Amino acid sequence: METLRKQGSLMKLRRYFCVASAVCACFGASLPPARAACPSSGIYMPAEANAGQADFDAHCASCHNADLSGNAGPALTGPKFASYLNFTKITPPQLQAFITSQMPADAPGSLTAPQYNDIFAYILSFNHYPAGQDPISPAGLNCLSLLPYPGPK
Amino acid sequence: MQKSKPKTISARTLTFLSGTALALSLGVAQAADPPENPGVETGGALARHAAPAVAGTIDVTDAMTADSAKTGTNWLATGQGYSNQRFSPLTGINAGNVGRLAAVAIAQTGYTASFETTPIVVNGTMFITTPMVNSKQAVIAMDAATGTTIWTYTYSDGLTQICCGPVNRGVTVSGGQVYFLSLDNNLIDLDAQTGQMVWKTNVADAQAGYSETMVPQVYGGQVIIGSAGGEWPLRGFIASYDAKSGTQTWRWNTTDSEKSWQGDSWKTGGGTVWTTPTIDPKLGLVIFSTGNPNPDLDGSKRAGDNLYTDSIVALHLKDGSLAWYYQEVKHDVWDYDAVSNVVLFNAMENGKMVPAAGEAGKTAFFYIVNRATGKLIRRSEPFDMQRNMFAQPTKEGVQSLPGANGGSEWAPPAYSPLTRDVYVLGMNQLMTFTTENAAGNIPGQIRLGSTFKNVEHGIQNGTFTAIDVNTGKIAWNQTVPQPAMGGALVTAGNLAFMGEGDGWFDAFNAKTGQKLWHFFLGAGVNAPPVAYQVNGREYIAVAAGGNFQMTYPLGDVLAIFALPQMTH
Repeated sequence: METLRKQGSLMKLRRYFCVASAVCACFGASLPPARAACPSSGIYMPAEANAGQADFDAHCASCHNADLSGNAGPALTGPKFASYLNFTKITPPQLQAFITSQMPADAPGSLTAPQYNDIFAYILSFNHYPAGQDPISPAGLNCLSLLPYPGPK
Repeated sequence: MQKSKPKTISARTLTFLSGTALALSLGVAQAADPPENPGVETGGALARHAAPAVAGTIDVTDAMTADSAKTGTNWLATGQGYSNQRFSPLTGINAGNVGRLAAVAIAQTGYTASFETTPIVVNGTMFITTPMVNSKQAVIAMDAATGTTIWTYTYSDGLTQICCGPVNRGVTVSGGQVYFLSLDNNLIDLDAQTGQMVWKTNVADAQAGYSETMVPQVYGGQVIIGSAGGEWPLRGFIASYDAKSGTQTWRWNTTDSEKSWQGDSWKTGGGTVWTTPTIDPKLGLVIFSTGNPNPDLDGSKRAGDNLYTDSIVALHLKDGSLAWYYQEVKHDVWDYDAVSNVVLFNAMENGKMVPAAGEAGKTAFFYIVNRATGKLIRRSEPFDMQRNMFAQPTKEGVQSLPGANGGSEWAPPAYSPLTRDVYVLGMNQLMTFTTENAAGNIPGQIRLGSTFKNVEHGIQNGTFTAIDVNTGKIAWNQTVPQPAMGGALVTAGNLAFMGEGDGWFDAFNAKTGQKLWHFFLGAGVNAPPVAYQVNGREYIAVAAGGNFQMTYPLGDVLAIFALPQMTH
């Protein structure tokens, strides 16, 4: 729920509509999210991804490279990232929770919730997951499937 | 977890491949490898077009390796022989003249990243590995006296998952072959003369979180390896491969399926073997240390002692069956791996000298066990600070020393049969251990179970300690400004060498601990030094490329030192 802190009035409005599905998703992780509650386009806003690039470059690129190709840290794009997603079947809420609690590796949890959201939006954007009208939210993350991988081959 | 599909290409086939085709065939199939950063792989004379070959003979036998610490001309089997003593009998460079020691070569590899290689030296030729940079890593053969490149073998990695830097700790050379492990888990055999690949075998699954950073050990036609990856939910192992064909001959899993684990937590219980084992040919044992249980910091779902993690373990060489074990830390929740490689020596037990094995723990104790039985003979006085050690982590956090890196991390110690001291690198890093988040359970996803963090303004320094193996008492203890991670060398010239994170390379009087000489290399000296001879002249060599995990300044240098030659 930390990830809700950033949201503006748009989000507040949206929350009324999304609470039900978020609760469903929390208590039955294997159930597909209620379709009506999910946005028809993407689950993050372009502005978040734009803001996320600077944060990524400052806090993540030293290990993952500015082009996300990976170096000391794993690749976050391309065939290697696709291979990781296929093997782990990790979900967006799981991946976001991991990044929020364990990254950056040398200072885990040291960024703000909005920064983590922006960085996650940037990674999604870089990998061709579509942007939309709404900011990243727990409900939105539950609506996204990382597979099939849409990104650079 | 393992998908073992030995893939072999004969040397004969390879000689017909062009350089480009060869390079393509070596990597794991990748439709679109990320483009290489052209600014990185510079420096180093890459002599790959001249059909280069090593001039001298490289046919290293087991007997040569076993005797390498007696002759001192070569540096073999990463730890200078099967005992991992890192002792050189050479006396040309000694406590009396080390003040005149000077650099004779600064060889730059072009691979700027954590540089942890131990050079191997055979009849005047040195073999090193580089770290991985932009998905490529290299093995380089160079002239051990001048640092000039003879051949370079470049490997392109597929998927890698690594916790602590894109490192490789070196090769071993046996029977005219160079063996090394790639970060993406291939065991590779190169022709030592030419650097051409003979065979390659996948030994573990990178998707599951395995990676390879260690130097293999070769004895009796067997290549013995473990793996890194203890931060992932996987099962540690040690395995033996046939040196000629690369086929697996035995495998021993480090987590016990019968007892000491809650439920089936042993299936993903970690315990990786990530530094080079020692061999006792007489007892027919391979002896090694095992890493932390997984999740590292959350023991709530793996109740029990979690055997055989954080242990010194001996297996029978012939079939990999368990001979004995000694567990240093039961039910670890602090990432207190037994990681620094095991060292063999003789030590006093009840007034009698017996074959012993020792390991420098992350706990800051040096553990000494009887080599035939595994029974603890003694553990040393603490060589680093211990405060709140073994206090259970809490939600708010508990501050403890040693931190999660030790004590002693992977840095191999050295042992001198002359002083009967073992020389250990250590660190004081005050850390907070928490239980702030539950471990997820996603195959292939790193799983620490919680976090450990350096305490702001908490103590941060390194140590270099001589410990008497017969008493466990500290002979001397030096402090350096940065936590020490690299390795030790001790020589019959009464010198003990080690490197510092800020770039200093130091020599100490092995008996007294007095610092006698140092040289600044710019990048962190975070690799083990070696000593050898070429044409009767003694050399000291060490890699200086810094350390990713400790954020020490990076570089790409292999530095070679000698005493100035008399001019007439």
